[in-house]
Amino acid sequence: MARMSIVYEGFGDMLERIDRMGHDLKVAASEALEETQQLVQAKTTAASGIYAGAGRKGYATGDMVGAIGAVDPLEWAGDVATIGVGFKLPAGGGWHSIFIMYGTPKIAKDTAVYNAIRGSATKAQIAQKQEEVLKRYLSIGD
Amino acid sequence: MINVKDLLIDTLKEKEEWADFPIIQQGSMADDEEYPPHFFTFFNNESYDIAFYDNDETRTVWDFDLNFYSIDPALVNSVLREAKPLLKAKGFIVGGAGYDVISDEETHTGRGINVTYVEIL
Repeated sequence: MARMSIVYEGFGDMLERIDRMGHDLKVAASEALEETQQLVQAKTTAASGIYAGAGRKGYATGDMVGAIGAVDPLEWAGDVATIGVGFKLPAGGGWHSIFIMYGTPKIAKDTAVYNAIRGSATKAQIAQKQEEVLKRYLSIGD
Repeated sequence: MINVKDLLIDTLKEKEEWADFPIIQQGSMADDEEYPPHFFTFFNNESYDIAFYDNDETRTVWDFDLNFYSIDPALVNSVLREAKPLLKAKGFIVGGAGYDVISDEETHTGRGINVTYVEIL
């Protein structure tokens, strides 16, 4: 799976307000992360050209489709949460994703698949999604 | 305005031990082309603007993959780690210690790192 951490400014204030309102921060953060996972996995699936008529080379067939669906669920270790996005590497077709995302000296990477997981547009959409979820909690009990 | 790709390549070439290592774009080698014994590849993933003033961009981020392939596993493990401080001294942002990348040839292994540069316009 992709390993990346994204630090956004401003979420600290929102989380403090959610806490002061008496909501469970872990529940709010969990929901934000799970919706983030859905967002990234949908982009990964679309970029991998799974569906018929996608008009692109169908990378995600068989094992690689499974690797998209097999990513790790949300897990808390103390106050730190992790969640899987992209391709599950130990899964059968997951290793193929390294070819696709990073290329080789003789095979160009597929920038659509790479950007679906690691691109700046995806990072911006993740920030937007997480802000949207946290704002829902700010509006509960108003 | 600087050419960030050239800055990346020139920084690597400054190290004497690497002066003869080819530096090529990832994916540009032909199927029947032989790998050099040791070489770098790079790929510019994207560039995007992060700051604006008066409707004009003032800061642009350049995002690169930088990979090193070699017949020598010890070099594969050390070269990019040695490159990191050299690149940081030139203003590149280099996170982490890298990851394995796939080689077309059984004779070589490779590792990659992500390198970004914030160009102030």
